[in-house]
Amino acid sequence: MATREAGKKMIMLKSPDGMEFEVEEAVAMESQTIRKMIEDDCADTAILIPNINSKILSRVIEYCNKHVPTTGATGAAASDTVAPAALAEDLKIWDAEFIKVNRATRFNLIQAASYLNIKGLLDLTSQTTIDTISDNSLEEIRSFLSTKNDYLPEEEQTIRRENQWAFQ
Amino acid sequence: METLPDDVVVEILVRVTEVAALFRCTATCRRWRLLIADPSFLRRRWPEGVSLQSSLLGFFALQQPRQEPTEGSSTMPLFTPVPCSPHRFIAIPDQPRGGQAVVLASHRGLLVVRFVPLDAISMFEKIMILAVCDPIAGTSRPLPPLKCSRSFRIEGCALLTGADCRVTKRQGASPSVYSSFKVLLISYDGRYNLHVLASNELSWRTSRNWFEPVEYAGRVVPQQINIVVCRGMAHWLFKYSSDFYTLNVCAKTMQMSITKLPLTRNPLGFKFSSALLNVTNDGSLSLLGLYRDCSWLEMWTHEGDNKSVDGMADCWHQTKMIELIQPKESTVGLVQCVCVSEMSGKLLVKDNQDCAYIVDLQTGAMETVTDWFCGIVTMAVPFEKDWPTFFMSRLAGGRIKRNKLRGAISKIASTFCKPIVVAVIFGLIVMSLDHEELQES
Repeated sequence: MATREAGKKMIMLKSPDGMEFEVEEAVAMESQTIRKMIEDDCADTAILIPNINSKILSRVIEYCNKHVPTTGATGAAASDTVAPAALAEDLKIWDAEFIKVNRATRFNLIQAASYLNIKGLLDLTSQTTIDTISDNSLEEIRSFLSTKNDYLPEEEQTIRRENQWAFQ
Repeated sequence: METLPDDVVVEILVRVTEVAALFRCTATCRRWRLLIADPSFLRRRWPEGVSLQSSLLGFFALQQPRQEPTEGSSTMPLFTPVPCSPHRFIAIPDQPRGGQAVVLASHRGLLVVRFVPLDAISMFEKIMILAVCDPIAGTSRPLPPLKCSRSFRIEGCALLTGADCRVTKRQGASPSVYSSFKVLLISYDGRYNLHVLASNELSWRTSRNWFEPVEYAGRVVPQQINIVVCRGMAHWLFKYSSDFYTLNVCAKTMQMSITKLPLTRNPLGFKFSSALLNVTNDGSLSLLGLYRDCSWLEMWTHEGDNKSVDGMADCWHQTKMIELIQPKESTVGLVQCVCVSEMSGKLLVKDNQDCAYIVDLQTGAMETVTDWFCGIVTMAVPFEKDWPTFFMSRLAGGRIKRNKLRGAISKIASTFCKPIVVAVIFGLIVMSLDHEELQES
C-alpha cells in the first residue's frame, strides 16, 4: 500500500512469512527489480518479495537505507558536515560490519541481492565469499560453499594431473 | 544446508579474479564445471573487445648475461613470467638434451621452436631442427628439418591455425590445434627465401630469392621475427632506407606482395624510428611507431578489406597518438620496440641502457620491468593464452564423459559377459576414444 508520510512516498514490502515493511520509495528503488515494478506501475499495493524471509529482507532494507543517496532534511545536514571521502570511508566500515554474518545468512543475502538486483549488495556479499575462495584448497572451497564433490576419485586425479598449473 | 541456486553461484564465480582459482573451482563438482564452461559465463568473465590483460603469461626471451659469466652454468631461463601469471615455469616439451630452444613465433597458445645445439655459435646453420608445440599441454610435434645448401638464418616466422586461413574476423581457435596449421618462415642466406609447410605435408615448399626488385636484398632491415597474422593474411615488417614496408602473404594461396607504407610525418615533424605490426582487438592490422626519445607512440591502422594481396598500400590511417607516461623513478634512455602482445595490449620496449619497460597501449603508462629478466633482452616473443577458448576446450565434454563411458561399458560387459558383445563394445570404445583424442589434442 503506497502511503504518504512526511511528504515522502512510502512502499510496502511483504515477505512470504507475512511480515510487512514500510520503506521510502527511494530506499526500495535501490533494488532494480523493485524500481522496474514501480516504474511499470505494478506497485500500488504491497509488493510480495518471494523466497526472501523477513529476517533477510529486514537486513536488505537496512543495507538499502544506509546506501540510498542522502537527500531531504536529515540527509542534507549529514552531507553538509561530512566530506564525501569521509562518508565513503564510513560506508566502507559500515559494510564490513554489516557483512559479519554467518555463512547461511551471507548466502541468503547473495540470493536476495541477486533476485532484487542490488548491485552494491551483490558485490559486497559475493566479494566477501571470493576472498575466502582464492587462497583455499579444493576441500576448503567445497566445505565452505557446501558443494558436494561428485567426481570419481580418478576423475579428480586426472583433472589435477592435467592442470598442474592451477593446483600448484 | 541447501545448495545455492545456479545464478548465485554464477555471481560468485564471475568475481573470481585469479584465473587459477577459477579453474580450481571447476574441480569442485560437476555442476560448477558446467556453469563455468558455459559460453555465456565465459563471455561475461572475459568480455569481447576488451583488451584481455590476464591473457599475457610472459615472454620467451633470448638474453645476454649482464656480467661476464663466472664459473658454472650461465644459461638463462627461456621463459620469463609476468607477475600475475599463474604459470611460473613453462618448459618446451621434448627439448633434446644438450640443446637449447629458441622460440620463433607464438600464436594462440602454440609456439614454433627451433632447437639449437649448445655449442652452436652463430645463428646461421645449414639445417634447422624445428617443432610446433603447446607448452601448456606439454605436447609437441616435430616438423621436417629445414635444409639448405648454404648457411642461413631465420628472419621471420608465422604460425597460422585453421581459423587464420579464413578471411574473417578473429574467432576462437579450433580445439584440435594440430589438425591444421601452416608454418611460414623467412630465411636469409644472402638473399631472402620463403618456406611454407602445411600440417598435412611432409616437406617444405621453398620460394627462393623472392624479393623483386633484387636491389632490396641485403639492405633490408627486418623489424620483427614473429610475422603478424590478420584476416587470412600474414604480414612481415621490414625497413629499407628510412621507409617501412610490409611483405604480405595470403594464407590460402601463398600469393605475395610488398607494400611501402604511406606513413606521413606528423605536424610536429617527428617520425618514429622503431615500429612493430600488431592486430587490434577488433581484428584490424595496425602499426605501432615508437619515438626514439620515448615521448610518443603512433598507432596506424589498415582499414582495407584484405581480400587480395594487392591494394595493401591504401587505407593506412593514423588512428591514435599515445603520449607515453614514463616511470617516475627512472630516466628512460633512447628506446626501441622489442615485441607486442596480440591480446593483452602490452608493448615491450628496451632502451640504450639495457633497461626493459612495458607500455600499456590503452593508457600509455610505462612500467620498469628490467628485473623481471635475468639478463639483457635481445629478442622476445610474448606468450599469451586465450582463456575463454582454453576453458571451453578443457571443460566442455572431453575426458570426464569418456571415463563415465568407460565405467558404463565395463558394467554392461560384466553383466552380459558375452565375448561378441564385449568385442563390439570394445571396438566402439576404441573408435570413440580415438575420436575424442583427436578433438582434445
